[in-house]
Amino acid sequence: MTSAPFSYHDPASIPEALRLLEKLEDAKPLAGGQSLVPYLVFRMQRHRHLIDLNNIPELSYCATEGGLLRIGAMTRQRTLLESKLIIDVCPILQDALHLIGHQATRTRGTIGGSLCNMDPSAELFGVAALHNATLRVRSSRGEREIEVKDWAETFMKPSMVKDEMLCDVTWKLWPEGHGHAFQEFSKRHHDYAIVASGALMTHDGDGKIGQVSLMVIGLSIKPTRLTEAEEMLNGKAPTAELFAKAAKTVREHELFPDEFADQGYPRRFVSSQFRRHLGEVYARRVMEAAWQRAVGQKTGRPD
Amino acid sequence: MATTEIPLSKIENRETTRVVTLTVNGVRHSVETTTRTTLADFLREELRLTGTHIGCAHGVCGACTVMMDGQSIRSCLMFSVQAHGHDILTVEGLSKEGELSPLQACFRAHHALQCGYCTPGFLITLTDFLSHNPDPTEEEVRQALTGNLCRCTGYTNIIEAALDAAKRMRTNSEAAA
Repeated sequence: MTSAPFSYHDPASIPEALRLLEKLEDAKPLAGGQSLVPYLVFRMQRHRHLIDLNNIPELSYCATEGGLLRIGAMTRQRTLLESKLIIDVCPILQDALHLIGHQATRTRGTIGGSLCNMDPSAELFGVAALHNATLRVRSSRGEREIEVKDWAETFMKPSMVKDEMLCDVTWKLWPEGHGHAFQEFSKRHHDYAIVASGALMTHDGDGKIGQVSLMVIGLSIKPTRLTEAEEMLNGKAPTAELFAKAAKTVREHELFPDEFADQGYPRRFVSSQFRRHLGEVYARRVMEAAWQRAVGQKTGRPD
Repeated sequence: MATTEIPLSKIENRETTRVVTLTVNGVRHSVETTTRTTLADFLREELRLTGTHIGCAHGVCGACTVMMDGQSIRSCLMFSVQAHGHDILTVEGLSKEGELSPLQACFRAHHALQCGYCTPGFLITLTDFLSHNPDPTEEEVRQALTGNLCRCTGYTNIIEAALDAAKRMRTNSEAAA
C-alpha cells in the first residue's frame, strides 16, 4: 500500500514549521506517524504537503518547573516510558504508556501526536484530562493555551485552526506518594482500548481521601471526568461500598453520539451498554488500586 | 534548514522525490526515491534487502520491524525520507561474517520458525528487547512479543528460543568479562 503523492517538508525549527503551515494549502503536520501513516497508505487521508516535525529538537523535552510538568509535543512515548523523572513525579503516565501499542510503535509515537490524533481510545488524552492539563498551541500569529476540557472540537478533531500546531502540554504535579492507577480493557493485550479508566488519589494521613481525580475513556469522543464521583469521595474514609457507589455514576454520563456510529464508534467492537458496564467496573478497580497505593500498599502493575 | 529564504512558489513546487542518504547494516547508501515510499518498501525495492518483510503494511503484524539508531521501529510506518541521516539495522545485519547471531542460532535450534515470514520481525524485536533486558522472565518475553504475529509456531518455540538466547548471551558476556 502506498500513500497518495505529497510534497515533503522537514523544517528544523518551530517558526519554520509555522510558516509552512500558514503558507501551504492542505499541509498536515507529521509527528510520530504511527496513526497518520496508516491513514495515508490506506488513503483514508491525502494531503498535498506533509510537514515532518521530527527534525525540530526544541519540540522534544520533558521537565519540571515550579510544581508543573511540561512535555514537548514531539517527546517520544518510549522516552517518557524510560524516563527516571516521570517514574518519580508522574507514575500514572507510565502506567498508561505501558498499555500503548508496542515497543516498536512507542519508539516513534509521540505524546503530541496522540493528543492531536485524538482517538477516543487514546490513553494519553485520558492522562492529560486527569491532570486538568493545559495545551499550548502556536501559529505565526502568536500562541494560546487551551484547557484539556476544551481540547476536543468534535470526533477526532482538536480545537485548533489550520495554521496552529501543538507545542507542549503542561500539568500540575500531584504530591509525592500519591496513589495512581490506570487500567484498560482491550480484546488482546496492547490492542486499542475499548474502555480504560484512571485514578489519582491522596491520603490525608487520617484514613480519609484527600485530593481525587477520576476519568474513563472509551465512552465518548473525549475522556469522561467523573466529577460527581470525585465529590462523593472527597474527604471520605473509603469503603468498598463507597467506591462501588461512586463508580455507578459512570452510568449517568453521555455516550458517543449516534452520528459517529458510521465512523466505527461506538459499535466498533461492543455495544454502548457494554462500554458503560466496563466503564463502571474499571472505574471501581482503579479507585481501589489508587487508594491502596495512596496508603502505601504495594500493588503489582496490572497487565 | 534555510526554508525561510526560499520563495513560496518554489516551496509549492518542491519535487515529490528526494535523495535519501542513510546507513544500512554499516553500509552507506545514497538513493533518489519518491517521498511517499515507506522505509519498508525502500529497503526491499531500492536496496533489494528483501529480508525485511511486509505483512499488514499498517503497523499491526510486526514483520517489517527494523532498528533505527539502536531502537526497534515499524519500517512500514515511516517514509524513507524520514530515515535520511539515520542508521538502520535489518535482519541481514544480524549475522557476522556468515555466522548466525546467538539469537538466530537459538531460533534454528528450537524450531522457532516454520514458514519464516514473520521471523525477521521477531529477531529484531528480540534484539532490541534483550539488549535492554538480558535476563527476562518468560512472562516478560511474552509481553515483548505481543506486537509480532506468527501464524505457524504457536509462539512456544519462539519464547523458548528467546530465553535460551538470553542465557547464551549472558554466558558469552560473562566469559568475555
